[in-house]
Amino acid sequence: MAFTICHILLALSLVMAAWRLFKGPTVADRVLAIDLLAAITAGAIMLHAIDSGAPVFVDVIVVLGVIVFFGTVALARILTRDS
Amino acid sequence: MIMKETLVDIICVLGSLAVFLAAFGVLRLPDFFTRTHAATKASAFGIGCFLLAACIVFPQPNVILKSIFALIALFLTLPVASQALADAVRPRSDAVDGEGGEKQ
Repeated sequence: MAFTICHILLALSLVMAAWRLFKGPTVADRVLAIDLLAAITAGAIMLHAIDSGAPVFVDVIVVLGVIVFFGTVALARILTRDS
Repeated sequence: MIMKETLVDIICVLGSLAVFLAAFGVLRLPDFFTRTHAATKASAFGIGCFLLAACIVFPQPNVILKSIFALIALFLTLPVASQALADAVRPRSDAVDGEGGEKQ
């Protein structure tokens, strides 16, 4: 029951972050929305790990966080260079 | 043990509520800097809650060490990323306008 509530909340968060990604007035808003989408995906992966009893998914969180960090910093550098 | 499952349920609902509030803030707040504020802090708290729940569910030492490492990596990288993004936006004076941030 509680995991169903968590999944519904995370799905609504995905829809809202994707709407900001679609609408976002500036490029920085879209980069922020991608960052948030990765955080929501990490939350969903952790929820699946807890629900199914497979602790290997904690590694996925580490790798996802580092890759998204590099992506965000690279896009921020590109924005700095362009402005 | 029934206590442990209830605790895990409460922590998971708290974490997903934090992530939901982050997404709601990103959708509804007026300009870019307030959106950065909402996204970074609330999503860090949400993923931290999920990692704490994983530590309670899987009490093996390697899972706890990996969770602590993931938490440290997350808390080091999220503020740096949002700082870099805000530094990229800051020179433009019309980024803060307080009324929707719609004008380019």
